[in-house]
Formats: sequence, structure tokens, C-alpha cells
Amino acid sequence: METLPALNSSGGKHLTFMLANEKYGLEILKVREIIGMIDITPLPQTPSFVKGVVNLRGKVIAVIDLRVKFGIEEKEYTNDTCMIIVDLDNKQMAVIVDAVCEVADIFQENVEETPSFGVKVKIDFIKGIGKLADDIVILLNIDKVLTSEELVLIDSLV
Amino acid sequence: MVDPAWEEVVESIDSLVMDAVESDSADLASVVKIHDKLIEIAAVVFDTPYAGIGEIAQKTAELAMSIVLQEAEDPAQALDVVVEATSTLQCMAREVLNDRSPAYVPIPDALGLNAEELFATREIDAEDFEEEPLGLDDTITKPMERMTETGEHLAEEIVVSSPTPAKTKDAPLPNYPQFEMGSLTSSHLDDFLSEMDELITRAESLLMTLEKAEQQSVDAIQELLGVFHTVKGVSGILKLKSIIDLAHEAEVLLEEASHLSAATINLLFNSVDVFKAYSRSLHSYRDTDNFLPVPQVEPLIAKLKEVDLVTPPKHKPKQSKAPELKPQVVASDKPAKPTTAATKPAPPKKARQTVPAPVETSQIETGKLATEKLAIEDEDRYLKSQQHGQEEVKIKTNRLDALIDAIGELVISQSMIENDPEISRITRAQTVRNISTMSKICRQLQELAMGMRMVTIQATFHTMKRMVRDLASEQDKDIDVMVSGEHTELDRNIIEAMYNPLVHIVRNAIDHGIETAAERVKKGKKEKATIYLKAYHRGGNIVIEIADDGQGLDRDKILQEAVKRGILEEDEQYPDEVIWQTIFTSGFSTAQQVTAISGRGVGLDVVKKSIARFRGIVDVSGKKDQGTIFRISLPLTLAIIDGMLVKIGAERYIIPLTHIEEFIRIAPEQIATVANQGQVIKLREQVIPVFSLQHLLRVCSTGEEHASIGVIVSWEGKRCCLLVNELLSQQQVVIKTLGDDFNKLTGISGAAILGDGRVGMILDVQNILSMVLNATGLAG
Repeated sequence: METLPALNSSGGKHLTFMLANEKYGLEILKVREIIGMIDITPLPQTPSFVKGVVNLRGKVIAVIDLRVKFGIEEKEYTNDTCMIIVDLDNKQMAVIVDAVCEVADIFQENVEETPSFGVKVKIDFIKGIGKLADDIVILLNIDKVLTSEELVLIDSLV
Repeated sequence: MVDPAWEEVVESIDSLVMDAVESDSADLASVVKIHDKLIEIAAVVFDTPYAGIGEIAQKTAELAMSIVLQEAEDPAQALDVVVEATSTLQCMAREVLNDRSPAYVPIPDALGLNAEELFATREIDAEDFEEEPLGLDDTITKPMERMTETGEHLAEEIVVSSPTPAKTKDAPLPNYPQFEMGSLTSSHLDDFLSEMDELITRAESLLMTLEKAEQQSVDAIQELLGVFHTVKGVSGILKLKSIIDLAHEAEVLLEEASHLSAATINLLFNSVDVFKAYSRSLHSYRDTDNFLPVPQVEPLIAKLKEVDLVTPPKHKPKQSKAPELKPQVVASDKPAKPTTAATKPAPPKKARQTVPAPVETSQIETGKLATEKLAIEDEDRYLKSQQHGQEEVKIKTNRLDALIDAIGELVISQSMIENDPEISRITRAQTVRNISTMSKICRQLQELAMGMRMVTIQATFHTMKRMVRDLASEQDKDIDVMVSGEHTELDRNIIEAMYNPLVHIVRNAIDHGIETAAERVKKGKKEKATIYLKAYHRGGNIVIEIADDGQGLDRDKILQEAVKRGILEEDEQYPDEVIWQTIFTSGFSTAQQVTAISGRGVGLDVVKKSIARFRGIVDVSGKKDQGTIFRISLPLTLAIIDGMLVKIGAERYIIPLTHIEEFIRIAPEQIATVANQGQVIKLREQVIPVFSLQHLLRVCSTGEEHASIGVIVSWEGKRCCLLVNELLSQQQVVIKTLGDDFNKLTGISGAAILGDGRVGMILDVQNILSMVLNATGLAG
């Protein structure tokens, strides 16, 4: 089996979650906690995927809606909708997902390189595709997802 | 004799009484205002022989504060006492004005002060001040006060050099620290660096004392020796050979010395600078894995070896002794191994005993004894010298921050519990009492936590002193530094951020403010110039003053330049403050020539910006040939602000109270449109531009609401009226940052957690004002 040197951290436990009908996974080490939806205070002058900020036990953290971020059509939040609090380098962020599924062991030998979809599709935040018994999981490089784009619209005001 | 400044005191007390009479215990803002004025008065009066009056003002201010903090049992009654006390102050001030003793004016019983005690003991204190201007009283010192009283002041060239360029006198080939980490971990490096930094500070302050002292004390020299010795010891851990060699050479020199000449002290300063460079380099290695270049030590070591100890004239034998001694010292130097640093003083000691120097023996003897003990003692001694009887524990800042954060969270969740409708329905006395006890403890915890973030400004002032010393000798000027209030505490982050602005202002003072000795004599001033560094509390703010007695600001020159730049109009009459403020404009400089360090007009605007980032204000005043005063006013802490919670569209925002002038109700027909673009209203014959915050910030709207309340905000004389939908409540909020991702948001400076646990944004009024007014040209 081919080993992928750049992916040596992609093996191990992943938290999997649903967005529309796709299953995604992110390293469990990056996940701080999962909470249900709480009141979000919108931030002005931000792109639509930035839903606003929430008070997480006294910390103010930004909330990103992954559906909007990935260009999937928005839908009403349901009881299953929740926020995953992710640990980035020096801060935390919350991402809204449709539902969390499980913590799955995805071994390195079950991870395949992301197929190329042509230059038009930006996929640098996908680390690889993980294969489960009856399913595939899109493994996210969450740091890239959350930092690849400016979070403030510069042309704002007056 | 009554001090002429006393009239001002009377005036400010009069205005205070006017406010007090109109105040209402329900209107906390009015009480806060009274409190601030009282503190201001107290600060001024404390420095006069009538400090007793200050005491009363202080006490009254405390009482006013207790009303604000809702700690007073009966606010209305407490306010009555405050009002009564202000009248008392008024009476007393008038007595003083008429050259009578204020001690006979009855003091309100509720203050618990005794008039006789107050004035008897205080008068002695006042005399003490006279003799020791740098006394422990943080508020004010004499020299400074005198300066403000007579309204002296400052700088003709207001320049504006670029933020102190780093000294780039390094050797052509960068030199990097050579050391062995070996089995050492980064925590060893941390320990080393923190110890090294302390030692550096210690050495500098000792050197500065020695430099100034008429009669250098042997103790101080010995203590300095101890510091160098410890430097050698701690560097041994990392096998920093250059440092060890240098420290050793300095140590050898100091062991010999009973008196240090200016040149020697300079060499020692240079050695300390080398330590500093190494420390900086290692800091950078630790944080970024990259070394910064460090200077070569060899030339310095050679110079240290060459030092001919200048002895006071009576010790003549010493001169002939020096050359004899040198080879021995050098010899004993070689076998010395870094790791055995602690035991090292032994060989040189023996060598020296053979030297025939009768007069010196006793001193050398003491030196030796001290050296032997030092290894054990210097740490103790060092600690002792700083702790003043209080134990200190070193805590990593990130742990402290975590603790403070946790306490912040506790306080917020406590207030959420307290405000929970379910909970407020509870009537059982015991439960209610328990909850209020918990709230009290939480508040206490919060205060303690806030206190832990505070550090004194001493270290910063210390660095300034050192910088003045270096720059003054570079430019051949004789400058004294007078420091007061160095124990004033400020939030750690603010102190760090104030470092560069202070450096800048002090540099300006030396480069441009202070004249050369010859010029000073010509102007009839003292040959020795003085820079005053002062920190004190004033009305909930901390004020840092940097004053000099140099050539002051040249009003005409500044006005001319300002007109040239189109900032001011030529034929208008401007008050001084307006003119002085223009020097903070970007690119402003009256320097005729651009030199290496100044004249490019970069600088004071940067200073102003970095101060404004911490909600601080800087202003400057001065008179030609009398000196310049820069006054930086900063909030006590970054963490809390008083704000007005308002509703904008569907969202809640907080407007900092400091910027709010008043609220008005606006009917749509009162708003007039100008050229179909901007909108204005007329308020008491003044035309003020109006902006809808909902529009400005692009807040989502719920559709039906109508912004009918105008909040008049101002900053630096700029005013505008911001429309909001609703005023909700006035509250203190803890500021939370939104993180780097969002620092580009316009008009928003941060977030706060509101009583119900949701987040509210804090408006950045300065930002909004400068933006809208610049954009519309409606300024003024």
C-alpha cells in the first residue's frame, strides 16, 4: 500500500459529521467540544459564512457556518444542528454542522489522496478521503478551512 | 504666604460644590463626576502644607465611590454627607485663601476625621516632602508641581523622529551567542533569562547610583560585584563563554576598586549592554529559534583589563600597584572554568594577598570576605532588596492569565445566575443571603484578579533613566532625571505598550527640547537640564507625564506649519491646545532639516495612535524657553469600561460612556438634509452631523423600528450625533477581544458579555468619528 508522507498525521481518531448528504471528518485532537446551538450575535461587515460570535463560558468566539462556507444551500437549524468548537493555533472557533455522527478510527492505510477535480475546484483544505466499511469521509484540514479567507469585508462603511 | 495656585484650588472646589448640590444619588454619572473632581483636588492639595484638606477630599471621594459601587447602605444619606463635605472643603479653602488656618472649620462627623489630628500631623508630612521629592507619595512631587504652577514649558522643534531606530553599530560580521544547551531544557533557558534580566536591571540601577554619588560607597561597589558574580554564575549553566569572561573581568576590576571613575562606569555600562544583547538574542532564540547578532566581547574585555583604577588622591600607592597586579590577574583568569564559577574567586584572591598595598588591605579584605559569602548571599540579598518585607512568588504569566480568565468567567456566570428570572423569584431569606454572599465573593475575586494584572511603572521609568543617561552623554548634554510615582500601578499590557511612545517622547525631549549647556547658560537657565517622569492617578485614569525644562514649543512656528499644511486657518485665533494638538498630525514637523533621527515628521502621530489604542489620550503643553509637558492619560485597566447599552436595529451595542456627551430625542422633522447627502440637526444653535448607526455598521434591521434617539458623542472636539433605536441601560462591561481576525472591523473595538449571557459589540467611537467626519467633510 502506498504511504503518503504528507499525510502522516491524518491517521487516527476523527470526529465525523454531516453537511447536507456528505460526511466529513476532522481530527479529534482539534476538537475541543461539541455544543448545541446557542444565541449568536451577528457581526456586521463580515462575509455571510461568518454567522457572528457566541459567548462560550465567558470567551467570545467566532462562529462559521460550514454549509455557507462550502457553498451548500443554507437551511433552517434543527435539533441536530450543532457547533463544533475547534482549537486552532492560538484561538478557538465554532463551526456549525448539520449533525455530528461518531468518532471513527481512520487508519492511514485507509486514507487516499484527494482526487483532482480540475483547477476550478479549490480543495486545498481537504487532506484526503478516508474509507470506512460502508462509507467515505472527507477529511478536512480545519486550519485551512478557517483561515484561508479574510473574515472581514474590507470595503465596509460609508 | 498663600500660594498663588491656591486660587485655582478654590475655583475647582467651587465648581465641585455646584455639581454636588445638583447631584442625585440615583444619577451615578453625577456622583462619578464629583468623585473625579474630589480626587483631582486631593491630588493637588496633598502637595501643599494643607494636606489635611486633601485627606478630607480623599475620604469624601471614597464615600462618593461607595455610592457609585452601590456599597453605601443609604445612598441618599451618603450623598448628603458628600455634599456637606464639599461645602466644608469650600469653607476651608477660603480660610486658607484668607491666610487663616482651616483647622477650625467643623468636619462632618460621618467622615470620621479629626480636624486637629489631620492638620497637626499632616504639616509635618508636608515638610518631609520638601526634602525628599522622590518620596513614597505617588501622587505628586514638588519639582513637577512647581512647574505646572508657574506654567513653564516647552519644545520649539516638535519633531518627530522615527521610532528610535535600533542601534545598528554592530560589527560588520554578525556575532551570535555561543553556548551549549546540552541536556538543558528550554525551562532552564527561561530561568536563565528571567534571572539575567533581573540582574541587568539591578546592575544598571547600581551603576546609575554610583555615577551620581559624590562619595561612592564601598557597599554599592561590593553589591555590584555581587551582581556581576551572579551573572557569571548563571551564565555558567549555559556555558556562555563570552559572558562569563566579561563578567569575570568586570568582577576582577571591581574587587580592586574603591572608587570608579566615570570612564570605568561607562565601561561597566557597556558590559551590561552586552549582557542585554545576549539576553535579547537568547530571548529571540527561545521564541523564534533565531539568534540576534551580539557584539564581540573581546575589545571590551581588553578595555576592562586596561582600566587604571582611579583612586582618591590619598591612596597614591595604588597607581604603582596596578601594573604589577595585572599579569597576575590575567594569569589567574585563564584556568578558570565557567562551570566552576562559584568557586572561582579563590585563586585571584591569593594572588592579591602578596601585593603590598597597606592602605588598601582592609578594603580588599572586606571585598574578599564579601565575595566568598556572596555566592550564598546574593540571591537572598537580591530578593530582600526588592520585597520590602513581603514575600513574592514568581508566576508564569500565562498561568496568571488563565486564572484571571477563569475568574472572569466565574463573575459572568454568577451575574447570569443572579439575574435569572427563576432565581429572582426566590424569597427564602437564607437562600437570598447565600446568593448575595456568593456575589460578594465573586466581586472580591474579580478585584483581586484585576489587581494581579497590575504592575508598577518603576521598570519602565528605570529604562527611561538609563536611556536619558546614554543619550545625554552622546549629545554632550547634562541631564538629570526626576522620577515620581514610580510605584503607580498599571495594567501590564498597557505598560508594555507604553514603552515605545515613552521612548519616543523622551528622545524628543533630549534631541530637540533640551538645549546644550552653553545655550542654557545664555538663556539664564541652570546648566543642568531636568527631565521629569511622573505617574499619578487622576479621576479613574492614570496619568504619565514627561516634562523637560528645555526650549519649549514655539507657538508661531507650529501655527505657521499648521497653516501651511492646511490644518488650521491663518487668520483665526486658536487656543493653545488646538495648536499643540496639530503636532500629533502625521507628517508634521517644523524641523528645517531632515536629519538621521528626526525631522521626517513620522512619530508623534504614531505615539498618539498607540496611546489611543488603549483608550488613552495624549496632550502636550508648554511655553517657549520654559519646557514641554507631555501628558498621557490612560484608563486604569483595559478590562472594564462603563458603557451605555443601546439598541441598533435588531442588535445591542455598547457605547463607551467616556465619549458620550448627551442623549436627545429626535423627531424626524428635526433632521435637515444637506445637499441631499449628509444629515444634520440643530442643537442649541449648533449644527451637528447626524448618522444612523444602523446604516453605518450595516446592522440587520427588524424592519419596523425607527431610530429616534440621538447620542451625541465627541472625541477631541469632534462631535456627531449617532442615531440609535433605544437606550437600554448603563452598565460596566468586561471587554473581550474579538481576536486578530476581526480587528479590521470598522467602528467596533471589541465585545462584551451582557447580563443575559449574549454577546454585545462595543462601539469604537473614535474610529467612527474620524471615519464619518473625514468622509463627509462636516467636521467641526
